[in-house]
Amino acid sequence: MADERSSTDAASNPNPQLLSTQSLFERNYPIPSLWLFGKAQSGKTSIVRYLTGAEHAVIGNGFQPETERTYRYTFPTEAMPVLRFFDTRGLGEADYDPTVDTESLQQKANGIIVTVRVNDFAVQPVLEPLRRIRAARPLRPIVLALTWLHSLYPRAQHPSPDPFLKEGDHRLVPEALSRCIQEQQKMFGNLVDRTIPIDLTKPEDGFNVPDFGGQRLKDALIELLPAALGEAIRNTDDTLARLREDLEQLTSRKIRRYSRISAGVGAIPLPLIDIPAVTGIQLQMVRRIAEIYDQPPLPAALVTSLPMLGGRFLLRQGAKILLKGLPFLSMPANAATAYLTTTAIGRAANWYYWQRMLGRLPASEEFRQMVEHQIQDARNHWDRPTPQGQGEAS
Amino acid sequence: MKRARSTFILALFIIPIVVLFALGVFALWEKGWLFWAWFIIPLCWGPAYLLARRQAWSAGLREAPRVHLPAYWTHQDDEAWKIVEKAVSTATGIAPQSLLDPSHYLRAAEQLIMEVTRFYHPKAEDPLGPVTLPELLTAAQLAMEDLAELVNVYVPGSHHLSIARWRMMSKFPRWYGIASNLSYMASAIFGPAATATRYAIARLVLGPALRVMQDNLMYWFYGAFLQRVGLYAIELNSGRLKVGARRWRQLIESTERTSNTSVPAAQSPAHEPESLTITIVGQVKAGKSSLANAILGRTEAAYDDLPTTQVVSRYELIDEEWLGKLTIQDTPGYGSVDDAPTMAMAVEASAHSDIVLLAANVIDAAREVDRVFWRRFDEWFTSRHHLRRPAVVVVATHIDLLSPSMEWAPPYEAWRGAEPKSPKDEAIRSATTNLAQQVFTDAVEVIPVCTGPTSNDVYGVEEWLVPALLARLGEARAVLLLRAIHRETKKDTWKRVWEQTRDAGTMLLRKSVGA
Repeated sequence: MADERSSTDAASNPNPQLLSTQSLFERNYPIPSLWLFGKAQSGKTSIVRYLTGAEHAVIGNGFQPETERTYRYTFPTEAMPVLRFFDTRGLGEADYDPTVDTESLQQKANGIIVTVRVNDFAVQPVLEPLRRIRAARPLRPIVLALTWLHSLYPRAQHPSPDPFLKEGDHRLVPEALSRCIQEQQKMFGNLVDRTIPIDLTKPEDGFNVPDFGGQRLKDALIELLPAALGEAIRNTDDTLARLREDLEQLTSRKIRRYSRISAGVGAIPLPLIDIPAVTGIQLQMVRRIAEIYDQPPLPAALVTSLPMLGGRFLLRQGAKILLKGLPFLSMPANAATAYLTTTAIGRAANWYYWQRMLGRLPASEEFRQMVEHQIQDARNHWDRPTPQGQGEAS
Repeated sequence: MKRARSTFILALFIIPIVVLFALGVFALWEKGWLFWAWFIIPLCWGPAYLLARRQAWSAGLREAPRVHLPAYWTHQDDEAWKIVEKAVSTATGIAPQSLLDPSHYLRAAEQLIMEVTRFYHPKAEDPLGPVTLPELLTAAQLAMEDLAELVNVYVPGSHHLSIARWRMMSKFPRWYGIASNLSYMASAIFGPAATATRYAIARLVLGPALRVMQDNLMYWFYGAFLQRVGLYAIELNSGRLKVGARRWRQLIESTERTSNTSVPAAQSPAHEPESLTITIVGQVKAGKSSLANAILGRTEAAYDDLPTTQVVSRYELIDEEWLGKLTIQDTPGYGSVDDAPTMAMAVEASAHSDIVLLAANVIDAAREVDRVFWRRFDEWFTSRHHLRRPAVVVVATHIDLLSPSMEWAPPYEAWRGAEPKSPKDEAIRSATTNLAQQVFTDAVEVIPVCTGPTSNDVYGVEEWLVPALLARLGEARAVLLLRAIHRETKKDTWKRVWEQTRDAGTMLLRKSVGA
């Protein structure tokens, strides 16, 4: 692949792989930029969560200030953008004049999602600036997402089957809801191109359909945005899969290299030296992987648990062989063990950082399990007559 | 005739006790137990004396009965009240002997009235000059009525208490002294050694104990007297007594509000007796009408999923037991910051009420409009010093919509300090705390409620909101109510006491006018 070559060329660069990925993205993929326009708690974050799969808290922290009141969140990371979101905060507040912020976003956003709680009729602070925004670029699609539908039928499930589908039965829509939607449509008029009733709830809220209307919103965006951007949204999952492939290729090279080094260190027949040395190498490897994924350093809990894990396994294997009274035999065994644990940790880190990048926050327990799973996997290979399958794979 | 009969009845009651007492004493003496049995007196009265001597105890007794200050008092009135409190607190320094002298009361009242009046008219050479005679008479009448009632309620047998008897009280210790000395002489014949011991204890313990109790009663009465005089001196100076004693009482008792905080004429006919008014304000769709219905306990405020309330609606609730007549005002929701007319309507309605309920939808994060309302509301009162801003209770509505949405299994008590029993409980707690600590820091209270969708789902109104409202406006009102009931049931007693005090009242009045 293209990035393979460029990475070997730019050896002096501290993180050449990353740069190459970034350039790949800028060249080949259009990045849809969506402007979320609505009051606080009108459901903006839930829409970002639905479209990206990232967790609520990650999105909250992910929004970086663009101007004083405008925030930007690039998914999954700024270096490898797939989707971009803008948020104007402060709509409806007394001292807020949205003019400056809206000006700055006029050229950057490809589409606008206006979020309004379905029975919030104090929409004047949204309507006013929206008129100006519309006037400036009349062709840019604006979708009105009416949220919090369930506030009109508290503690009841959403109507099923979904009455808002094209072939849906409109008689299933609760009367209050249908009147509120009509009223909102009347207020927004032709300021919006489509009205989407949507209710994206957390799993713990207990709805049978937690992302009610999510697909509807996605379809509307695909349909209304310029073709290339619509396609980009439709293919978000594919894009992410390809990104993962690329990143994995980069990391597996690193993992192989560090595994080889740790095998060499592990071959030193002094258990008290090889264990700390191997864990040091493993830590270094994990740090490198983090850089590739453009993620912050490991959480402290994982850093401390990591050497113990790899080391404990190493010690156990070493002791087994020493007990047999054949110390020199431990050399190749230790080397192989070091190789396998390093590979396992590397793969677990690979998985972990990919999750982080997608905006999920795996628990440290999950990481530990993943390492153990990988070690188990490796041991199965090792116990077989031809254990070198792992090392010689490419 | 009547008196003879009651004396006879009393005698019938007392005779067996006296006879048994005498027999008992004799029996004890015969058995030789009298000396030891007698010790029950110093054993009980001794600690009583010691307790009475302790500052906390004596302060509790000496403190005049808590007077319920009118809730409508302005800052100026509150300041004036401090003068009265000071006068009451210095009363303990007065010699008990002078408290038995009626003329001392007149002098003290005169001095207090002058002090309060001077506070209201610091520059006037003759502070009482602008006060009209009917006003002065009204003040005197009200003070005397109150005081008479106080005596009636707290002093047993008070309707037999005349000035002469009052004076006689000062001689009581002397009688006791003579009587006990006689008894000592008698018992000395039977057992000289024991009597000597008893005599010593009595001199050291019993005499002072009785003395302290008597003094406390007098200080207590004197304090109450000063408070009443001060209270009506303030009412007098604030011009509120112009309506006359009867009308003033009527107003206090029916609404506890003054004539200058009446509802605008357009909304309420002037002749209508004023009732307690609760005004509900809040943003569009904050759940104001549902809240009104939940408080009324019936569906009266039109409720709709689209904004409905466009004018101030008024509903009446008659609660004979506690509140009397209650008016609930439902205002149109203020939509946005520039929504001046609705905002002005909400401020105006709130300013003319006794309690404001600010409905705040918990799932709504836009609080700026509420802050604007609060600011305007405060401003309304800063330009009207003589009025008092009603308390604002924030009602956090729609708690049922908090995550997890599907859960609804009250009771939810975590917000009041209980251990959270479910995620919803915790969500309600954190939403309420957030409103109280981050948004409405000036609110007297933040109370979470659920007002729908059906009346079966209403939660928090009866449980928390109504008790909170009662606590806010109930105290003064409950006392007034009690007073009215009391007057009805003891009309005869009342009349008697009034006759007794009338003369003294006129005297006081004459003195005040003379000054």
